[in-house]
Amino acid sequence: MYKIFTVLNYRRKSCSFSKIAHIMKLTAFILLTVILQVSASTYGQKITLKEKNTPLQDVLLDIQQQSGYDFLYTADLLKLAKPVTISVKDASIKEVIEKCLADQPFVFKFNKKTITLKEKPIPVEIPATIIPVQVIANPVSGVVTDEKGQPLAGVTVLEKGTKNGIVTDATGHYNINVADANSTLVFSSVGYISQEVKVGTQKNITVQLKDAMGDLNEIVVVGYGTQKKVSLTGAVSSISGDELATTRNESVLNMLTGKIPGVRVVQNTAEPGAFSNSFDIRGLGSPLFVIDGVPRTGIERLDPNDIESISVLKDAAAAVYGVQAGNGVVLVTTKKGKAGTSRITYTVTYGEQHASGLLPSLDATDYMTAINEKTKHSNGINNPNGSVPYQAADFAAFAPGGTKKSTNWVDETVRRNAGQENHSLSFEGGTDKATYFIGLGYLKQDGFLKTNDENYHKYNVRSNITAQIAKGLSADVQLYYMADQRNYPAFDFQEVLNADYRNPPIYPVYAGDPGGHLDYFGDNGNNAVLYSSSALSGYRQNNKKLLQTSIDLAYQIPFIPGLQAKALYSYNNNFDDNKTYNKEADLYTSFINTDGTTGYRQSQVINGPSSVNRSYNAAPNTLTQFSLNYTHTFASVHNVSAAAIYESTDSQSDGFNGTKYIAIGTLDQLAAGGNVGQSLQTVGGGYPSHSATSSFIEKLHYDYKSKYLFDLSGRNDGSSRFAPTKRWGFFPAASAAWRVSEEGFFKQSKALSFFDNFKLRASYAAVGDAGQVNYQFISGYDYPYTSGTSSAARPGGSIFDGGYIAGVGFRTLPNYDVTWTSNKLANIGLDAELWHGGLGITADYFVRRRDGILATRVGTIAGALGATLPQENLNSDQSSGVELELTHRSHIGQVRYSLDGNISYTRTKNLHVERAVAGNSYDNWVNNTNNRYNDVAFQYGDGGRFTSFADIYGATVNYGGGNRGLVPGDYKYVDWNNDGTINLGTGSQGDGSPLAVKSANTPLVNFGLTISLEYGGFDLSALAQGVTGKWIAYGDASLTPLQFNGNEFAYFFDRWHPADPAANQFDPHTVYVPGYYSISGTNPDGNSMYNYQNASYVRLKSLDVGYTLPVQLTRKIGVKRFRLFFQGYDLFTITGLRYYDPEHPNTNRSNEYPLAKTYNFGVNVTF
Amino acid sequence: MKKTVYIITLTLALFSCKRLNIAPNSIIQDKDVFGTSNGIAAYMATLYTLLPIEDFRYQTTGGGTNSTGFGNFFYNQNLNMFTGEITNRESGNEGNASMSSNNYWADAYQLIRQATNFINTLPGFKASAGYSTAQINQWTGEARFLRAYTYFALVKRYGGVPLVTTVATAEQVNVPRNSEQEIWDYVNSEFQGAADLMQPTSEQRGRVNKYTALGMLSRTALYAGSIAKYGQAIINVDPATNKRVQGIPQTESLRYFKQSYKAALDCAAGGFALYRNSLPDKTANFYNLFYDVSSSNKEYMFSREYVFGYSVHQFDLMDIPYQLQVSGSASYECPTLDWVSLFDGLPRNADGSLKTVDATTGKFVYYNSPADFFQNAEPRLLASVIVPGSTFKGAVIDVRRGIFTGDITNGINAFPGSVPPYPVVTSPYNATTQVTPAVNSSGSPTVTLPNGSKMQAGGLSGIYGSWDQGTTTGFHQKKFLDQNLAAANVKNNYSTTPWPELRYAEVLLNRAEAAYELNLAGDTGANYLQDAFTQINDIRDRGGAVLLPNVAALNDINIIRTERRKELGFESKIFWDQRRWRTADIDINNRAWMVLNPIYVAANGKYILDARKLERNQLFTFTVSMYYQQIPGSEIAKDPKLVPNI
Repeated sequence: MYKIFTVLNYRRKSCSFSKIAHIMKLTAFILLTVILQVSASTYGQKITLKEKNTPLQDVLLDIQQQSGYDFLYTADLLKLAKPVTISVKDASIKEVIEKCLADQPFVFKFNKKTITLKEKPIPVEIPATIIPVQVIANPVSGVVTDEKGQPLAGVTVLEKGTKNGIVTDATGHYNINVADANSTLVFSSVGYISQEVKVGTQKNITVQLKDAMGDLNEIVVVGYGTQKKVSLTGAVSSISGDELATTRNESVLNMLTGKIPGVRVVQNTAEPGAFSNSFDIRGLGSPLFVIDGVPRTGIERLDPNDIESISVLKDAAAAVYGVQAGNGVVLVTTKKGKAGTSRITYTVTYGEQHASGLLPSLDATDYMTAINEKTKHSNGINNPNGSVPYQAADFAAFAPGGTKKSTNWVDETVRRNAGQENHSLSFEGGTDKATYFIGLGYLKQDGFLKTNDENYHKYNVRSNITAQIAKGLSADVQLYYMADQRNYPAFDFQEVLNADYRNPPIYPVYAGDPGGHLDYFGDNGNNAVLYSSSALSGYRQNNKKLLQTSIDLAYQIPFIPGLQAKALYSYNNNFDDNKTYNKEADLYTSFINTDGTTGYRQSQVINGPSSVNRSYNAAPNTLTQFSLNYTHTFASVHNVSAAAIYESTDSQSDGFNGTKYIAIGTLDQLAAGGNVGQSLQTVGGGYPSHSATSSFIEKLHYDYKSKYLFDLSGRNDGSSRFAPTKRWGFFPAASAAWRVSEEGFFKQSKALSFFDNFKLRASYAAVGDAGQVNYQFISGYDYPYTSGTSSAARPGGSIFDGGYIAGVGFRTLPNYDVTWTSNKLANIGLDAELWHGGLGITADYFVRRRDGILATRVGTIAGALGATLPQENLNSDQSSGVELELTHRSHIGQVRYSLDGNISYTRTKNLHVERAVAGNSYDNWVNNTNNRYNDVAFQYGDGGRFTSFADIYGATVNYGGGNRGLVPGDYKYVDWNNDGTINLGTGSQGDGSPLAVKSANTPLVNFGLTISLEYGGFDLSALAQGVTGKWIAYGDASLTPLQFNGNEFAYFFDRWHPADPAANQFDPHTVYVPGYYSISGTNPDGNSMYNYQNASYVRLKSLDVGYTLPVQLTRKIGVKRFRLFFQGYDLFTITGLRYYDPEHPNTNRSNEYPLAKTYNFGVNVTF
Repeated sequence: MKKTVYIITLTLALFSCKRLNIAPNSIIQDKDVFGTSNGIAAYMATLYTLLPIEDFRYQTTGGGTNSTGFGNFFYNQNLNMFTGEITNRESGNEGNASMSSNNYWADAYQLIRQATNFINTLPGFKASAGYSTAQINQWTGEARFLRAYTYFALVKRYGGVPLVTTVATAEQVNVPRNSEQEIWDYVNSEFQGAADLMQPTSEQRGRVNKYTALGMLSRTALYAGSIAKYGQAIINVDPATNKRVQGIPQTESLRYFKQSYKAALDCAAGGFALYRNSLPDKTANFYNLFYDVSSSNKEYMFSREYVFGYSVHQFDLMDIPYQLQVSGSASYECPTLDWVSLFDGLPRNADGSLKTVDATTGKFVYYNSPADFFQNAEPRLLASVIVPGSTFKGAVIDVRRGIFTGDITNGINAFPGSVPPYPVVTSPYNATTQVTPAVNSSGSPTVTLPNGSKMQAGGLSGIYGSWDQGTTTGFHQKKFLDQNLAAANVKNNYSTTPWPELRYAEVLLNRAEAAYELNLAGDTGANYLQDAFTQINDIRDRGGAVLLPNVAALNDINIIRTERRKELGFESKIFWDQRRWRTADIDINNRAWMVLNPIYVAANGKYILDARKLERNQLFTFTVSMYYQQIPGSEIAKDPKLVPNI
C-alpha cells in the first residue's frame, strides 16, 4: 500500500511525506468509521502574514507553522491554485484562510486541527449540492419509490431547464420550490428510467420510477470489469441478488437452479452441511468461480443476502480467465453501500424441511410372506414343496395380539421433518465520501436423524467499505468471514438407510432388554439404531472457516481522462478443523444360560476400538493484481475501452491429522489416547502443497456509435503445475456484435419501431482447462508410498528389525509434454428487446471442442513394461447446444407481473476416446465410444411381461433353462439380435442395444420459468423448473428387493404372486395375482429398460409470497419496510419416476440422504 | 508518468516467472533415495511389501491389489483350501481349485522393473555416498533376490513368461514368452548369483541374506526338476519362437535336482537348525516356533513380520473358535480329517482305518470326550490343530454335531457314510439314526437328557447344520492362531503373527526330496538315501512323530511328501507342491473332504466320533490344464506375441 502512494505522489517529493501520512491516517479513519464531519468552532491562534504573489502552498505552510493546524489536500489540487497576496496581523485562522482562498477554486472545512481543502463543486454536475438561491413560493413535495413501492433515496429531482434541484432523502422524500405551474420536474436515478412530471397545481407529487433492469442501461459484471448490457458481444447472463433471493436454500448454488439459461444445477442431497451438488455451465464441467474479482472457492457458503449480482460467462466472454476459462466462469459480486442512504435490514425465517422420497419398507408379516415366496421360487421347479423359513407359528407371533412386534426400522431412526432457521442483519449506507455494507448471517439446519445428531450451523460476517481517499483515488476494502460447523454421527446417513432397509422387521432393536443390549442379527446388516446415534457409535464434527479479504485501490490518472490504475491484493484462507470420534459399539445375541437366565453374547464389535481423529488444514492463497484501464470516446462516436492487467496468485495448503485409540470410551479427546506409535494411531498429514500462477491479460473494446461492437482479449497464463517446456500458454478471444436496431434504416422504419434493441453476436475463443494437470512431468519417487489409507490396504512399507520402514512410491512414467486441455469455444446469439419490456429475447447456439483431454494410453503397452503409463493429452470431445430466454414484463390493471422463461439443451459427443482395440466387431460396436454421444447406454429392451403360463409356453425366445423357471409376471426382454436367446447379466452379449441416455446428473434439456406478480403490498414469485432427457437406474435394494434376505421397500410388494402363498409357483394351474413387479426373487436386469427410468420432471422449485405492510403504517414505528413472507422449496413435482425424488442420485447404494421440501416463514424489516 | 510506468513495470518484474518453479514436496529424486542407507532401506521397504509372498494377505479368489490376490484384506479363501489341508464354509462355492480369477502379472513386472532400476542406479552412488563394495554387493544381491523371487512367482503360475531384465521402454516389451526352462534357469542362477554377492546375515531382520537365497534356490530348483520329471503331460511350444513356453525337457530334471540338493547342502554352513528352544514339550515347541522371531530361532530363514498399526492381518479374527469370537467372524479355516489323519498316534483299526467305528463290530467306539481320541496324537498335530474338546485360551473348545438319543443297549451301529469308503450322505442324521443334529448357530434344538438336564444339540463352537458359523469339520487351525492375543483384540487387523516364508525345515525337506529323486535316478554323487533318512528323522523327532526305523524304511517318495504336508501344513506351500508333483488332478479332482463329527450319547454321557465326508458334498474340480494358470486375457490383448497357455 505504501508503495502505491509513493508511485502516485512522487511528483511532489518535498511535501509528500507528511501528506502521505495524513492521507493514510484519513484512509484509516474513513475505513473504520463513517465520517462525521465536525466544523471547528473555535480558532484560538492568531496569525500574522504578509505575502505577495506567493504560491499558495508556501502560504499554507506558513499558516501551518504559525497555527499548528494541518492542511489536507491532494497534489492535483494545488495545480489549480493561484498565487496569494495577503497582509494580515493577529488575524484568526478562519479569517486568514478565507482571505487566502477568496479567489481560489477551493472550499475548505475544519475538522479539529485539520483543514481540508477541496475543489469547489461545480453545481450543474452535482445537483445534490445545489443550494437554492432564491425562495419561490411554489413548494412541491412527495415521495419517490421504486416499482415495488420501496422508497428510493438519492433520486435527483431537477426542475427542467434550470439548475434547481435536490435529491431525495433516505425515506424517498423531497421538497422543492419550483418557479410556477408550468415547471416540469425530472426524476432520475441510476438504474431507473427517468421520468418527467409537469407540476401544474399539484403540491404533492409521488413518483414511481421504473426499474431499468432488463433495460438497455443495465450494467453487468464481466471479467475484469463491467459493461453495459447493451454493448456486450459475448454470451453473458446475469441475475440480481433480489432475483436470486426468491429461492431460499442453504446453498447459493441451489438458488441458481432454473434461473439462468445454460446453467445446470442438480442437488444431490439436502444433508445439512454437505453442499453436495452437480453444477456446470452448458454441460462443460466444473466452472471457475470468481467472487468480487478473485477466483475463490466456497460460493455455496456465501450468504445470499450479501450478493448483489451473479454473472455467468459462457463463451469468449470467459476467455479473459485463460487456462481456467474452459468450462465457463461464474462471477459473484457482493453488495456495497449506496451514498446518501442508510438502512438496517433484518430478515428472519423459520422453516420446516420435509424429507422427500423416504420410502417405507415391509412389516414383519409381509416380509415373511415375501421371503417365503422368494425361497419357494429359488427352491425351483424341481423342489416346489421344499421348506420355507417361516411357518404358521412365526406368522402367528406377529399377528395382532401375538408375542412379537414388527420393527419399523425407518421410524426407529429417521424422522420426516426437521427444522431450520436463518437470520440476516445488514447495515448499509454512506456518504459521497464513503459507503459501507455490513452483513451478518446465521443459519441453522437440522437433519432427519431421529436422534437429531445431524445438524449444521453457519455464521458469517461481511464488511464491504468503499472510500474516496483523495481526489481520483478510491479504496475498496472487502472482508468476508464464514465459520460453520457440521455435526453428524460417525456413520454416514446412507449407512443408516442401508441398514433400515436391510434389517428385517422381525428382529427387535434390542436383544431382549429395551434400551439395553442392541440386537445382533447376523448377516442381515448391522443394527440401524447403532448407526443413527452419536451416543452409541460416535460422531463427527467438521468446522470450516473461510476468510476472504481484498483491498482494491483505484486511481484516476490525471491529464489522461478515462485512464485508471488499479491495484488489488487479496488474501484468502480456508481452514478445516475436523474431529471424528469413533466409539466402539457392540451388538449382542441373547441366549439362555444353563440356569435358565438370559445372557447376552457379544457377537459383533462395530467401530472398535474407540478412537479420536483430529485433522486441521489451512489453505491460504493470495492474489495480486495491477491493472490499467482506459475508457474514452473519441469524436463522440468511437467508444474505446482497454485494459492491461497483471495478476499473480499463490496457493498453499498444509495440515496435519492424528488418530489415537481411546481406552476409556467416554473420553472423546485426543489427549486421552495412548502413545502414538504403538498401534494404528497416527499423527500425520499430507505434504504441504504449493502452487503459483502468473498472468498477463489484455482487453480491448471498441464500438462505433454502439452499433458495431468488437471485443478482443488475450491472456498469457503461466503455472507452476505445468511442465517447464509448457509453462506458458496464450489464450485469445474475439467477439463482435452488430446492433441492427441502431442502423438508420432500422430506426427510421415505422414497421420496426416496436424494437428497442436488436443485436446479433458472434464470438470465438481458444481457452484451456488445466484442472487435471498435476506434475505429471516430474519423475522420481513419492515418499512415503501409500497404497491406501485404511489398515486394510497393502502396507506402503515393510517391517524390518521389527519396526515399520516407510517405502518409496514408484511414480508413473513422466510425461514431459503434458499440458492443459485446449478448449475452443464458438458462440452465435441474438438479443432483442421489444415493446419496452413486452418481450425480451436472448438466443444462443454454441459449440465447444476440447482437444488433449488427459487420458492414459490403454491396451497397447505390454504389462511386461512394469510401469504405469502417465496421462497424456489424448482424448477429444465436442459439446454443442442451444439456449433461449424469453422475458415479458407488463401489468394488468394494478397487477404488475413479469415472466422469465429459459430453456437450454446441451449434449457432448466424444471425438476420440483412447481405448484398447476391440476383440470383435460387436464389442467394438457396443464399447467403442469414439464419435458417439457420451450419454448412450446399452440396455436390454423392455419386451413386456409374461402374463400367463400360456404366454410362457408360447415364448419363442429362450430366457435360459428352456424357460422352465419362468412364472407369470416375469420380465421379457427384446431379443435384439434375433438369435432366440437372451443372455442376461452378461451385459454386452448380443441383446444390449442403445436404448437410453445414461444421464443421471446431466439431463439433456433444462428449463425454468419464473413468474413474478405484484399487487398493492402483495408480491409473489414462483419458479417452475424441470428437466427432460434424464434417465436413472437405481441399484442395490432399489433394484434387488430382499437383497441378502433383508427387507424390501414396501412398493415391491405390489408384485405378481400366487393367490395361495403355499401353492406350487411353477404349476400352470396356480392362480396368479398380477402386480407391478415380478414375483419375489426375480428382479429385472439392472441394465435393462425395466430398471432405467425416465426421471424427467417439472417442479415448483420455489414459491415466494410476501406482503409488505403499507409504509404509512410502519413509518410510525420507524420502520421503512415490513414484509411478511412464505417461501417454499421443491414444493410440488410432476415426474414419471416411481417413488424417488427425480433429483435423488443413485450413488451410495441409492440410499443418499433425502432431498427436502422446505417451507419457510419469514419477516423482513428495514429500518 | 514515464516514471510511473517504469516503476510499475519493475514491480511486475519482481513477480515474474521465477517463482513458478515450485516442485511438490512429496516427490523425491534418486539422490534422495540412493544417497543414504536409510533411503536404500525405504526403497527396499517398497520392494519387500510388493514381494509376492502368499501370506496372510493372499486370497485365491482375486481381489486384493489389482485382483492379483496379494495385499488382500481377507484371509478366508487361501491356498490351503484347495489342497485338502483345510476347508471352510465358503469354499463350497468354488468351482475348481485353480486361481482363475487372479491376474498377477503387471504388478510382478513393476517389481521386476524397480529391482532392475535399483541394480542399475546403485553403483552410481558408490563414490558420492561412500558405500563399501560389500554394501553395494549386499544390496545388489538383495535386489536380484527379489527380482528372482518375482520371476519364480510368475513361472510357477504361467510357465514361460517374457524375461525382461532391463529398465525397458514401452517399445522394448512387446515380446514373446521365453521358454519355461529359460525362466527357471534364470531364477536359479539369479538366486545363486544373489547368494554369491550377499553376506551370511541380513542387514536387518526381515531382509534376505546369502542363505535365504540358497534356501530359495533349493526350493526353485526342486520345483523345476519336478516339472521336468513329472510335467510331460503339458507341452506347449510357441510356434513363432519355437520355444517350449510350458514344460521342460525331462532330461533336465537331474540337473535341477542336483542344483537343489547342492543349495540345500550349502545352507548347512549357515548354522541353521530345527527349532528346539521350547522343549521338552514338543507340542508347545512346535507351536512356539511360529512366534519366535529372535535370533535364537535358527530355523527361520525368511519371514514377513507384522506390526500392529502399520502392517497387520486378520488371521485370528477369521479363525478364532466361534465360542471365543468377539467380532462377527470365526472358524473359517477348518482342517480336514484327511489332513489330521496323516499324523501318528490316532486310534486305528487293524486295517488302518480310524477307530471311530470298530471295524470288527461295525459299531461306534465310545470316548469320554472328543479329545480322548487325540490323547496319544503326535505333538505336531496338536500344535497345528485345535482338536474337539481340547483347550485353547483356557476354554474347552466345545464341538458337537448333535446328540444321540436312541437306545444303546446293543451299541450304536455305524451310520450311513460313517465307514470306509465313506460315501457321501447329504442328510445323514435323519430320524432313523436317532441323532438330534444342531440346525443353527445357537446350537439348538435343546435336548432334554435322561437326568433331566438340558443340552444344546450343537457345541459352542459347532458343528451346526446351518454352516454359517462354527467349525465345519470339527477342527480349528491352531498354527498361527495367537493364544496370547487378548480376547478383546480378536478383531480385524489386530493379528501380527509372522508369516514363515522360508524355514530351515523346508530346506531339509527339499534336501531329502532332491536326494531321494537323485537316488531314484541312479545318481551316485553322494549317499543320498542315507542323507534323506537323516533329515526326515530330524523333522520327525522335532515334531514328535514316529521315527523311521532305518534307511530301508524310506522306500517311497510319498514318505517324504507326506512329511512335507504335515510339516508345512497351512503355509501355502502344499498347493505348489501338488502342482509340481502333478498329483492334484488325482488327489483333489472330484474329492469331498472328510470331517469328524463328535456326537454326544445321551444314554451314557459319552461321545461317539462320526468320521464322514462333508455333508454338503463340496467337490473340487482339478483338471490337468489347471497345473498352469491362464495368462490374463487383458495381457494377451496388449501383447499379441504372448501365446496363451493350453
